[in-house]
Amino acid sequence: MLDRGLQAERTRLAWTRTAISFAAVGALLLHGAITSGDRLRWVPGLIGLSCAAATYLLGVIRYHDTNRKVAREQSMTSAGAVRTLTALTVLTVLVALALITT
Amino acid sequence: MTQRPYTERRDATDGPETSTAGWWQRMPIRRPPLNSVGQDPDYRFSLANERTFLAWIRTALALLAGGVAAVQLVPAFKVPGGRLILGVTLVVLAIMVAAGSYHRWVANERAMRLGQCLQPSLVPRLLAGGLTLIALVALLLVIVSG
Repeated sequence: MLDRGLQAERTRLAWTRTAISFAAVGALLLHGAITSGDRLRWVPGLIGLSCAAATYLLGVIRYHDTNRKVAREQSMTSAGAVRTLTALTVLTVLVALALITT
Repeated sequence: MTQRPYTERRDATDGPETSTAGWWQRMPIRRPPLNSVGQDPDYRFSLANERTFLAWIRTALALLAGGVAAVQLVPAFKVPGGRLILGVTLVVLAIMVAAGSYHRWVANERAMRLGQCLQPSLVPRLLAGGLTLIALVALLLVIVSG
């Protein structure tokens, strides 16, 4: 029985929304950096956009992994994906903090 | 897929005094891996937990965006460093929400696996308190700036 109540699909959409949030933060950081004229200040924005792409891919992987494991009646919990996203968020926050304080 | 309980998988000779044990194994309060505790919950509850975690991460990112915007886009206040104070506070709040949301995901998943009640989290209170403080500081800066 696959995806009763479309839960896996809703979760995938939540990952996509999170990726869009990362992209918005990355674009904001990049906008501030481009107007400053210093190429080194582009790095936080590029990191934000990279995290957005990584988050989207992570969501796609989780979706297919969940469907596969639910079909096999296996555990679909992924602490690795949650830890990875937390690390990406902390990284983005730290580079943004470095950008605004320098 | 069944797994032996965590306690059965530990070697009887293991212990903090074992000189070959790494520092991680010598920590007295190391918790067992999540998938080895209790039973797998209904996958829909795990997915709901994951969506809740993602919502908190989006909240952290929104706080981050607010902090960056406060420093880069908001016109300067008459109080020197006012924008930086607001921006840095928002960004620090973002990092606390992100860390707290991971901790909450783990705690909820563990509680579901053990059939326990979900414990209330400090993160909503932290967020409400932090945002109240930031709003008051912003109001003060606006009033002082005329």
